[in-house]
Amino acid sequence: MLIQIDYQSDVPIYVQLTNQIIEGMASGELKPGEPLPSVRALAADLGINLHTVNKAYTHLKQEGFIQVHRQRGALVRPDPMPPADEAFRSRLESQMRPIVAEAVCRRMDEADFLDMCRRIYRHFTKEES
Amino acid sequence: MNGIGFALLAIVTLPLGVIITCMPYLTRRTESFGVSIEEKYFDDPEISAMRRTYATVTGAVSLLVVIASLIAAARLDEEQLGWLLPAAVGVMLAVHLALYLRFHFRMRAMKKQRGLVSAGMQQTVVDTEFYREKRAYSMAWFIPHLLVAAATAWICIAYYDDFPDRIVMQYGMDGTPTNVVDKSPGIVLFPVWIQLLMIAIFTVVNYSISASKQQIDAANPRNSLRRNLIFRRKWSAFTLVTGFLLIVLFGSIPLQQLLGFDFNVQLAFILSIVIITLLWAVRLGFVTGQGGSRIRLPEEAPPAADGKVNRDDDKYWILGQFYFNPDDPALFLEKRFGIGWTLNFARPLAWIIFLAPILVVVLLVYLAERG
Repeated sequence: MLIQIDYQSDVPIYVQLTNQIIEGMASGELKPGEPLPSVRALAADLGINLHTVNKAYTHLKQEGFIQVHRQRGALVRPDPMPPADEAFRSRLESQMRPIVAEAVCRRMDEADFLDMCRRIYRHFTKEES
Repeated sequence: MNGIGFALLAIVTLPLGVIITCMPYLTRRTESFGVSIEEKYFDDPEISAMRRTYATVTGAVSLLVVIASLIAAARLDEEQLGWLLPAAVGVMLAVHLALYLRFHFRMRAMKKQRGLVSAGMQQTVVDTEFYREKRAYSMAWFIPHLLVAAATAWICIAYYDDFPDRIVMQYGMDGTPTNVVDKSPGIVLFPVWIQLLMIAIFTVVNYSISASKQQIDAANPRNSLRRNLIFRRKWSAFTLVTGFLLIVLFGSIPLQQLLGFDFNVQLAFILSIVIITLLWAVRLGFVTGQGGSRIRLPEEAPPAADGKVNRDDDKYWILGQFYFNPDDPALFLEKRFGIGWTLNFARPLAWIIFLAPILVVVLLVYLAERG
């Protein structure tokens, strides 16, 4: 999978990294159990500090997306993610509230908003929209 | 002066002249005289003109130096000849450097004026599978090198008594011995020390080819990735094969001392290995270009259409030549002006790798002079 980091973006680099690895897993570009580059190799390739990559990997590990082994290095989680249970749903809802709120503030059309969500969802599931 | 002296001068200075003259055409197209640019500016009239001027002047001066040194070689005495080759190479490199710096500063001024790398579109692309690809040939390919060195050592030790009492350490351009020392085990084994030093250097080079960080062109990620892998493998093969030839070359030295065969046979052997190595290097330089930028792929993936360009990392390149980035954990990376790899001088290990071979060579030469 190709990871693309924008340096001029307002999104911090570790967040870009985290997001892209999750997106790679969603789209299937990163297979379950697939090895990821070591922290050092990824930091070197991006020409950035080790801590930045470490921060992304630590976050991904805490959220259960990746595993970090002493010998085998970082891996994409080999088994599927746990299903979207109540706890996940309530967390997702609280994360979406400010996003929806800003869209409402900017008077974005409800259908437009839902269309965008559907497009993004189907981008990952590869269904025709 | 004999033919071999002339041959050596020509063999070294001609390929060097060709390479330094063509250098700006062999770099990646996202770089001009050590300044990063967007690929679309590579063929900008002003930038093309700089390359042409650089190549014309460097080429003309190199040619003059080659001709002048060949004429000089015919007139100078033995004492002065020792300096001719280093002097000719020195002048060529000095001209190359002076012109590089001139155009480097012109490029910087031009970039200040015109931008040349759009600020909002910079991106670094990495492939998560890169380090699972075959980037260089296995270190096991150094086993033949080690076997030749072991055989050389064995010959030196087993036939120690048969070596002449005085060992020639250095020959003049005309084939007369210029430095002769008394026999000792250290002196007889001298070629073996050189072999081991060379194997150590080639091992580090092959490792650096494999470990050097991935540098993917953001405007054309898939193709540049494939080109880069071909580039690395070709130079790894070059390192392994020419390395082996050089180890064999040093292995022939004790044989010559032992069997006393004609010095000219030995020299012809040395020259042919030097010719093979240099011609191969020049050819590979033109085929691959830096990072594989000149390699034609049988089928090309379409370039990325998002208009992204490489990150502008000029601030980490001192004079466009020396990479110094304390934040970057990378040790090896591609050179910007030239073909091959360089070091991140912000890392202490880089200095050790850079200085160690020089120190060892100085030590060896010192020991050899002392006898």
